[in-house]
Amino acid sequence: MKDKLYRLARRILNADDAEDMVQDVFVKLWTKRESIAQYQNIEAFAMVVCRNLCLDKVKSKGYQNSELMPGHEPIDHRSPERMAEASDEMARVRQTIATLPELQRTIIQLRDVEEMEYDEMAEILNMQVNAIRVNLSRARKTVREAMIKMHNYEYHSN
Amino acid sequence: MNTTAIKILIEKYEAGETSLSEEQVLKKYFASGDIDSDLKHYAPLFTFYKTEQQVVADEKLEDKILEKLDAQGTIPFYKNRTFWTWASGIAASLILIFSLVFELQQGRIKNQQAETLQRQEEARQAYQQTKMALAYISEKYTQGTDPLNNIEKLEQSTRALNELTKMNTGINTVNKQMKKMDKGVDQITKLSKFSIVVKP
Repeated sequence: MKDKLYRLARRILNADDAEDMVQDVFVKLWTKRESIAQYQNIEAFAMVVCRNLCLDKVKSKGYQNSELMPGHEPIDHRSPERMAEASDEMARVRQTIATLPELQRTIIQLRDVEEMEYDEMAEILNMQVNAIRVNLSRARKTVREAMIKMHNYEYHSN
Repeated sequence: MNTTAIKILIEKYEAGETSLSEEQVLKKYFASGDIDSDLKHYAPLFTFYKTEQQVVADEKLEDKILEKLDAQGTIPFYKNRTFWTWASGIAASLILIFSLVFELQQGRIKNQQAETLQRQEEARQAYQQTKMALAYISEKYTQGTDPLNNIEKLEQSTRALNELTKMNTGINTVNKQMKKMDKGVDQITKLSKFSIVVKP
């Protein structure tokens, strides 16, 4: 569960903050352990807590996710898959998704990375399934356009 | 999976209408390496999703979580003032209840002990008394049986007495004979008197 939370936090925040957020999620789960029992899906609840904490962090004064700024390459030597991501291609896909609005980014994360069902996503996002589909469609189309641009750029530059 | 089918799926995918299993088909297709040139631009995206799935938190995160739970999750709760007022109240009442129960229990035990001691003492006394009584009785009994030894003597003496009675009968017969003899003597004396009377 902590990895899933970490990945979600990572979609919104930089690596260090994402780690802090996941710790805070567990602390919050601990302090709310009495009321947790009434939630059918504890993981979904944890995801809700995680997202809210991340959004609070983003909203907090002067917060900037340097990794999401254009021209900044993510510097994260701790995870091997990041290092394996030698090609600019992956970095650019990451960049593309990072420029999406937070809701669309989170929906992409839950659906295309975590492969969740729509009703589970609805629980986490507190949204109607249809609204989620609309946002997901928007996100996927934006990403597709960016991918085509990137592809053409590479194709033409090669 | 032929390209037209994939293209249809892509359209559904972009409309947000694919199921998870259909999306799985797409992911497999783009991972296969045999991708239609019209769709090639999509390949990096699905590769990216696949790598993102494998992202895991730092190994130390778990320790950090546990540390944080220790430091912030549990301790603040114990530092909480309401917790302490409650805890001390509960502790005090628990101590009170336990001491009361203990006291009662102790009193009952003491009573029981005293009772058993008393009973034991009573039993011992009763035993002593019975023992003494029995000893007294047996002493008296043996004392009482001692005179019974005299019965034998009595018997011996009665036996002797029996001999005496036999002697008595003998004496009686002797006496009878003697009386008869006396009568004879009397008669003789009478006769002699008579002869004196006749002689003159």
